[in-house]
Amino acid sequence: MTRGDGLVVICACLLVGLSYVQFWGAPDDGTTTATREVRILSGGTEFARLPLDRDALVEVPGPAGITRVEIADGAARCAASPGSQGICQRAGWLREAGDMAVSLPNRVLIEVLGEAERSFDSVNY
Amino acid sequence: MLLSTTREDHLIAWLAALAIAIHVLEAALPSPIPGVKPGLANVITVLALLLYGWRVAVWVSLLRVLAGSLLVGSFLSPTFLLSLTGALASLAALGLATAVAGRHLSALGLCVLAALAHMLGQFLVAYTLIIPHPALLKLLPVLLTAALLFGLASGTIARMMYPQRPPAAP
Amino acid sequence: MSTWQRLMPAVLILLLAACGPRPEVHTERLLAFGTVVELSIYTHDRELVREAARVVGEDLDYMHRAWHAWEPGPLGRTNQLLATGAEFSANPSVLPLILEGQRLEADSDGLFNPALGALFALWGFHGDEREEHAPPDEAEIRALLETRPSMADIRVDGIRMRSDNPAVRLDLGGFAKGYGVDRAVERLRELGIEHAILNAGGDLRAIGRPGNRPWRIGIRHPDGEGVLASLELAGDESVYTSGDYERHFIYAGERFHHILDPRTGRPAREARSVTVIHRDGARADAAATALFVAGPARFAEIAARLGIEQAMLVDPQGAVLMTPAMAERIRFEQQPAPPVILVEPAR
Repeated sequence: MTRGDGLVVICACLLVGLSYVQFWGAPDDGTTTATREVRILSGGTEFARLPLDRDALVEVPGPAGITRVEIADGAARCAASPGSQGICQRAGWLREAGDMAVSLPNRVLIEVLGEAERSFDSVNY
Repeated sequence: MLLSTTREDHLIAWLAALAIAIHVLEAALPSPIPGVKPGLANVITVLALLLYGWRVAVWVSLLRVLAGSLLVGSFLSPTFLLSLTGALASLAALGLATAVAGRHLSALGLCVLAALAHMLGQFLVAYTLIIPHPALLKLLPVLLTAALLFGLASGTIARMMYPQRPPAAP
Repeated sequence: MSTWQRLMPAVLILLLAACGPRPEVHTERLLAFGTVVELSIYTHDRELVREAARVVGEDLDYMHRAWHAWEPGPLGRTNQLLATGAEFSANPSVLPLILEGQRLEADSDGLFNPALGALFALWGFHGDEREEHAPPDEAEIRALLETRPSMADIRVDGIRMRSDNPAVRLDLGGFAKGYGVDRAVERLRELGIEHAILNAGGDLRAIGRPGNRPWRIGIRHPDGEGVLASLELAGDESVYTSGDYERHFIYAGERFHHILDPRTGRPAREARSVTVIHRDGARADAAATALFVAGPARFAEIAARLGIEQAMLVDPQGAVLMTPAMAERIRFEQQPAPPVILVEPAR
């Protein structure tokens, strides 16, 4: 093995290593079982950001009343919220990155963070 | 009128035949992206380079890709394009390396270079023209690792057989 | 220095340059315009995405207030002044919409009528929230329809405006969102963003493309279960869907939705959803509603009148009516695929 060979092999190893960092990096891609977080937005600003692995009860005040967010067993849900159609509660348990519940009258948005493995960039309905 | 062949022609033909045989065998290997191969036949290219210079290596390589694809039945298919790109990329890398640092590199370094260039060239074509899906990028590190390992292995073997340095640049 | 040594720095720099942050699709969600708005931008600059979301949120909120038909604001005031029959100076934030509304009503042969705000209110759809009450009875509806409010009753002369018919009450909800999204996308362009999707409550406009592939859009099934079809967008296009599942109430077991047929004064029953692809969001928004009202009977005619080439209607039996241009773009994602009838837009 010549010095030149050694250099080539070292550079090759560096290149391969870099490619792992570049293309496999970003630990927040949601595929790891690292703690996921739920973010609560109130009136457009972040009200709270909590890990899903610790049970909690959060009361979020808004223009229409109080929205209660419950975290249990690694998931979050809209336990109670003002709004005649119960749309927030009907979203059920939010577990995967991208899942969300919203209360329009109270201007509250509850979403699980992370880049969801969606096959669609956007959904029309 | 008889076509008179030189000794060089014979050598090229012999090397090309060997390379084609490897190419055809390699076509039977499974691959995560259809058509993208580790480039085992690159060993022959490097040997040709070491023994007879870059120009002979080019001939051997191109003959290998053409005849190999005709034999495997992939002529003018995406597989052919990938093969060709891989061969051209490694030839370019080898040419550049011998021009710039010919005195410093043996079969080992050359094989590693050729294997990586081959894989990178193939991947670029696969990603831009054939499957422009971002998920493909996740495969690149794995493919490069495979190329590196193959390059090291084939380079070590080649070096044991032919410990010389490449002849003067073309 | 040998060639090798001279080349090394260049090689190292090239390697390092390849290690910058990669562009990818970043999505921000916000509440604006009375709905959930999703902004997806293909860029390497995360800060730009946050800034864009903030700006778009502000713009959409402003537009929502300005164009709200029932709360105090420029449109509310305009409605009051129109009812008096006197001439007044039009509010600049509302005038372009009124002119567009006139064009849309004419092109849809009256099936889309933003001047029928009173009918909308009669059904109780005017608030953002709805209280439970019974549907209006036939007599009330008939009385209202007889007043025949129309966008054509509004006379516009430069910036001066007046109404010939006191029954005219503007509710621009049928196309204001489309118009608003278009303006917000212009703002994104001003910020230097060329590849993005702005999705307001399901209706979206997409510009550019994320890298070297098109945007992939899913269209939800009217029943709300899963994705009915998928679509690829590139360039600059809007996708708008009107459905019977959007705003509705249930009374005595019957569902009454908000897409009212101006001819009968009742919810249109010939369709479950209509999806339109068109460059202009306001037109796509209005066309989705107009084609819903038109139903299969006048689908081809109204599509042609509105200049819509790509449209799809899902009828109450689950069959799909679509234009050939739409059929080329749509790929059904549910098995079995629904029965499809191709209809060429024609007057």
